[in-house]
Amino acid sequence: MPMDTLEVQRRLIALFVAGCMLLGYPLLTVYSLPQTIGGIPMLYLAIFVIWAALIGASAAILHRATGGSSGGASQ
Amino acid sequence: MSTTLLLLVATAYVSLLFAVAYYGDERAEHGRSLVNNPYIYALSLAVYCTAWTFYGSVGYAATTGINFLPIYIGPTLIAILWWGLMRKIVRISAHQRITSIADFIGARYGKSAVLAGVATVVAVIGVVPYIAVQLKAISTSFGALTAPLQDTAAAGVPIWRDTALYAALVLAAFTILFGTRHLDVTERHEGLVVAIAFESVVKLAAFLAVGLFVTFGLYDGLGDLFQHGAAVPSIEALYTVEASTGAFADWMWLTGLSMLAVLFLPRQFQVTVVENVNEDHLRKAAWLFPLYLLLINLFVLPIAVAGLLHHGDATHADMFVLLVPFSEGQTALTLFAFIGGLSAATSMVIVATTALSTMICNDLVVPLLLRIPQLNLARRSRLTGVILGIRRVAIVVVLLFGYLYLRGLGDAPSLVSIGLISFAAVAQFAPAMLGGIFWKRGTRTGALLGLVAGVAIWGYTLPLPLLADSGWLPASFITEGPFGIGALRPYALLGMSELNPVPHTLFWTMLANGGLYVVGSLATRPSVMEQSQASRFVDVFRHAGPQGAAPWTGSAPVADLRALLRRFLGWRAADRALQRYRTRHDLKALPERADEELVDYVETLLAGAIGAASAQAVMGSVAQAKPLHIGEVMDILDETQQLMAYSRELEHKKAELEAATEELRDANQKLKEIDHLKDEFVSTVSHELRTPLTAIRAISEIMHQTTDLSPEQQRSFATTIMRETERLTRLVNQVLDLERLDATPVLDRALVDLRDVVHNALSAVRPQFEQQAITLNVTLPDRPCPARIDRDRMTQVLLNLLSNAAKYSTDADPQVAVRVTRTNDTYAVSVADNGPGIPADQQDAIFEKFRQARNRVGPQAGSGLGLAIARQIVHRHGGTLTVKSTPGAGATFTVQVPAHPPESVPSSDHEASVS
Repeated sequence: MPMDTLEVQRRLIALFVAGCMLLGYPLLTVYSLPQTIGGIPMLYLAIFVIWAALIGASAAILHRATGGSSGGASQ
Repeated sequence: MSTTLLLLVATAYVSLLFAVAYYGDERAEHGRSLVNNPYIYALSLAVYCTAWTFYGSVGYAATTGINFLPIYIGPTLIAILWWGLMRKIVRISAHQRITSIADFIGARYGKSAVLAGVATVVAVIGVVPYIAVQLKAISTSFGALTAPLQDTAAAGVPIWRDTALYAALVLAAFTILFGTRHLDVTERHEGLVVAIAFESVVKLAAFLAVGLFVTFGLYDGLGDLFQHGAAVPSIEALYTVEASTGAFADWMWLTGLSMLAVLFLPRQFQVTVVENVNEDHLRKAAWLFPLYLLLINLFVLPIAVAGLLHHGDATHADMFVLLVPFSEGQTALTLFAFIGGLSAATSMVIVATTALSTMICNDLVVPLLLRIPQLNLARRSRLTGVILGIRRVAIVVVLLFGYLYLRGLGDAPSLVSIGLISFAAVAQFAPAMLGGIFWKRGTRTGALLGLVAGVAIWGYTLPLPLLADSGWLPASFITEGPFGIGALRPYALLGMSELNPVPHTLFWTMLANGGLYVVGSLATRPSVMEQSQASRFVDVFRHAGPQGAAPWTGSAPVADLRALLRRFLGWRAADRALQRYRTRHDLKALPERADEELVDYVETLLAGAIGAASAQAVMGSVAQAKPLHIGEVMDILDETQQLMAYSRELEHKKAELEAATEELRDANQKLKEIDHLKDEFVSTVSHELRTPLTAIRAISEIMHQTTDLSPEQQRSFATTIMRETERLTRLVNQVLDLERLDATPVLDRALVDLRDVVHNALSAVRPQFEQQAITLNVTLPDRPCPARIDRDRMTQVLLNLLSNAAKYSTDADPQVAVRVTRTNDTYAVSVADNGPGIPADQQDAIFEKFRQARNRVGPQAGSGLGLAIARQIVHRHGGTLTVKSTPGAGATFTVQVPAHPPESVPSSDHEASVS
């Protein structure tokens, strides 16, 4: 279901804030543990998983965005 | 590995790159563009990943663990906002034909040539070291493979054997060929973009290949690799971050810094904004680009760990990507990695140089040349060649400048630290750019102050200490400050030693830059041009297409405009552009004189070729497009004033209308009241008529049915009938009287002596008074009392008052006093009785129609109209009829009428004879 531009913007801003929180201080200290999961350090794994999730969420929101094609940027 | 093999591979790769770029341009010329594709676009954005990413990240990870990541997490986060933020910049740039970030800033603040020039200088001094670093990476990687594990400092190599120099020259050739092939109004370079996208694929594939080889070839997957590393304490320390080291503070600062960098680096602006062909591509690129960043960083830490395990220490960690497969004897993979590093470095250099040369040409050189009158640049017949020449020279100069920087600097700083210095430099664009697209009030002065202050602090706190590191300045400059002033230590301004150098610089520059931008903007008033541009930038989404011309653009002959376009764009491009305008506006032919819209269109076209500020200057000098003179400003102001006056007039009219409506409403209200009174009057009159009629009818019926009435009874009945009939007659007369008075306001006025009127009235009532034995006291002045009155009417008034007095004389010794007095200009005729008087609350009511004071019952009930009629007559004369009464002590009615001026008595008009 396509969303209007404003709704897309709102969701993207919310995602941006969430991303800043999840990949920023002080939440990072939570992942910065000596434990490993399958031999992979916790911090390293956590960052890449969150990173991938952010990209996925952003793609999902942008996929539903409308109104981009109406832009007159192209000749 | 032999030098020859490496050179061969490098040459082959660069040749392939030329071929790809050429292919891209060919396709574009045949209208089958490769660039109109979101995937190519997203890949071209990956020019963000340079040799710093390819080599430097591993080196940085080997010493600090995950601290290399903020540089990629920042862009990932800000890319989430691209759909709003970057789309706005792209839209604005498409409308205004922006050619570079300096052009954008200059155009935003009133097409300011000064601001664009300053921004260009900032971009050049910020980015040239970055270019130098790429050249250094090329030569280091070359050296690492030909003479492994030796000191690869470029400084010791004679200049003709320095790989970096040859790399610089080859890159200059490529950039000249594909970055300045022709002068295009859109400033797009399709072949170049295709080549950059291709390079992005190569560097990602190479890095992933090395990562996969290390992880799965050397070890048994990621877990195995990390576990091997965990056995070494110094490596295990890389897996976590110690909160106490301030690493998290750095993390946050660098995340923020890289957000700004990915928006405002000149090469990023070039690929994201200038080379964008369709803003909808951003929709995919906004997540594809972060995905690319994620993939290229996935194996950074594993390669770093493997490198540390194989080489023992981090001395050559910057080259682990090459050295690990090389030491394992993987020649092919090593060569692929070398190509990957080469592609990362060259793509950055090519795009950055193209962007810088455009800026230097459009925003620095051309505006300067236009200001030298001897050159008469604007009147030259062919400028396309001149402009392209300037750009080509700029490319060579930038690259040589980068090379010289590299040799001068030696090998002191790492890839990452130079890169961060560049990031901090371009972050200085942030206040002017972000303010420029979201805040209309930002002014040229604010932007200029902020930019200059930010760059000054940046220069003092980041690049200058490097000179001390390289031995150009004494080391005490850093440790003790210049001349021993501690507060000016470049890494700890005002003693702030908490932050590391880059966050320290970022804090101070953003404080000074942002602060001065806001304060400077609020302290100055934007010019008309600034306001116009501000609204075009900030409100770009509110307008459907490129906005129409500002009202003051002026007009110019089309022939002049055509000639101007031909000089700057060449004949073909100019004619095509005008043709496009004609088709778009559905014109049969272009008019002889261009209107404002066409002038604006031409200026925007020129802006695409030579920048907004230069385009404006050229338009002003060649065609008679009017620059904004004071007179025109006055005209605009006049127009505004007229509008304001008009609006004031409207408001005035509105107020008048409102007042009229109010009056009408009042009148209507009054009419309704009167209508209501009339109804009441009619019903009262009918009622009053019915009472005597009922009496007469009742008596007549009795007389009709009763045959044996005594003569006394008959007489009595007849008397009653007569009295009631009289009363009816009187009533009807009075009603007629009242109506007549209402209908004919004209009085039959004449100059009469008031005393005569009183005498007349008195003589009429005297018999009645004598019959009722009422004592009459009359006091009249000795002198005549001339007044212009209707004699009959006034007599009627007095008769009414006198008969009322007689009617209510119920006292044992009834007395009535009549007195005429004269004050300055009025006569007062008073009739006083000593009857029962009128209660105070009824003294007004008795003058209303059909009202009689209820307790004033007398032998003869009146119609209740007499006093109403009397008061109306007196009012018509301009006088008053009032009553004063104390209940139980009689009532005094006073008629006041204006006196006739005494001097006019003898010379009065013909009516005077009546008296």
